[in-house]
Amino acid sequence: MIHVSLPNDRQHKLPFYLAMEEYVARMLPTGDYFFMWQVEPTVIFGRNQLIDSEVDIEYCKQHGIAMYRRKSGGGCVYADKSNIMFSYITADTNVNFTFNKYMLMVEHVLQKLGIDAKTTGRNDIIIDGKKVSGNAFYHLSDRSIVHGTMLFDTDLEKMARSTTPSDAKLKSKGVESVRQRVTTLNKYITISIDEFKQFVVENLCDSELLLDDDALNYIAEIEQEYYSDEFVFGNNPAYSLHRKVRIEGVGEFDIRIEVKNLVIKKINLLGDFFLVGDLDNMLLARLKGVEFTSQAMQKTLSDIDPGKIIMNMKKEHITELIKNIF
Amino acid sequence: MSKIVEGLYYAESHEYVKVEGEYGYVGITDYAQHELGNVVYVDMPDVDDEVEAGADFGAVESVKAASDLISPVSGTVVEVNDALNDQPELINADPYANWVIKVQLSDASEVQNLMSAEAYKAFLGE
Repeated sequence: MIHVSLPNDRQHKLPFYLAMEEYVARMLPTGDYFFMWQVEPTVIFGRNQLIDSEVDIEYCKQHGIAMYRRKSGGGCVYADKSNIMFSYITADTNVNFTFNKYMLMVEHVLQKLGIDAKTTGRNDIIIDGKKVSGNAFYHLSDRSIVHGTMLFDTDLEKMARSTTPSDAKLKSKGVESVRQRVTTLNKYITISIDEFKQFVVENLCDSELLLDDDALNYIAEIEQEYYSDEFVFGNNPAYSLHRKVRIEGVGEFDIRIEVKNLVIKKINLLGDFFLVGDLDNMLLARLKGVEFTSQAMQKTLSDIDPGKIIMNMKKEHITELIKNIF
Repeated sequence: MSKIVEGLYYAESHEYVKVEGEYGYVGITDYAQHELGNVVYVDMPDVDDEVEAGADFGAVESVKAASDLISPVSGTVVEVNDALNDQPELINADPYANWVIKVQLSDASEVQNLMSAEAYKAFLGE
């Protein structure tokens, strides 16, 4: 396996390393490549995850934790300088074969250090039943990228907090599962993080490839996509929300909205209010395709006469209803 | 052995296109769905998006991996298979009935660069 290295030890943000993986996969000749990297505190969610239900966005902002989306599948992870990220790029495209081969290689290196590490299922490496490494797979047309975490001495408190959605219903579940299941390598070995990395390279790799300026320029180009709002937020999968709002003198409203890429895809309104007009065409159909923000919804409905659709409904009730959705 | 349907065109990256008049239905092959395992999400483009032969237009995520979808043809997306939003597992059940996007082909001759069912079968070595 070829160890890919950088010409200097400059610090980079997470997208740089994801772009570096892509560069290796797309531009370098067929072969097996490997490198490790570390970043300042960052939350990375899977390709098709809804940020809001994975991350405590406010907590991350307050604590300067960066948030990025990756192109591989799977769940949300937290990285800091003590979580060593492993990247493996190969021309093998058979998912099971590639995954298993790689996981066994990593497991073997840990075992050589005297750690009782085991691969579980397909994605994790555990010690004493606790997860120390989670791995994800990105399958390009004729290359595969497997990357994963290796918790060396990570701040597990910050990890748990940042990857717990602020939604109360999901909260307890997230915290418990993270805290109970995770451990760090430094509890099992006494060598330093740099010594550990060196040991891994020596055991997995037999040659070295130093990236040149052309490579770095190419990586810088790929890297940009990962910073764009369109990539980070625009790739949020569709989600639905459900709200119950009571408006005095009008009735109880049961609202269901399906949102994709910040646009209302479907909206449904049920309740014990009294219909006097065509709810579907006069109100709901107009909201379809509208940006899912309070302002956009207000604006769309600014010229309707609510009393002609729902008995006793006034303009301020519309405002109230929308306010309660957000 | 993977199911291969006669009359479709196949790409080496395991997508197929079924041509009907000026339209092409693009999906992933039975080999691809089997290789990926249980599909949990299909990341699809929007209607009116342009796709280009050889370029990615979305991804299929399974319990094991996220895999780029590479378009075998160029053109404009005129329909996406909305059913996959709620039931991505339909791809596992029957990948040929459950195409991902319907494309208005900008160059119908592009399919000549793809494999026939027989050639794809040989490509898979089955």
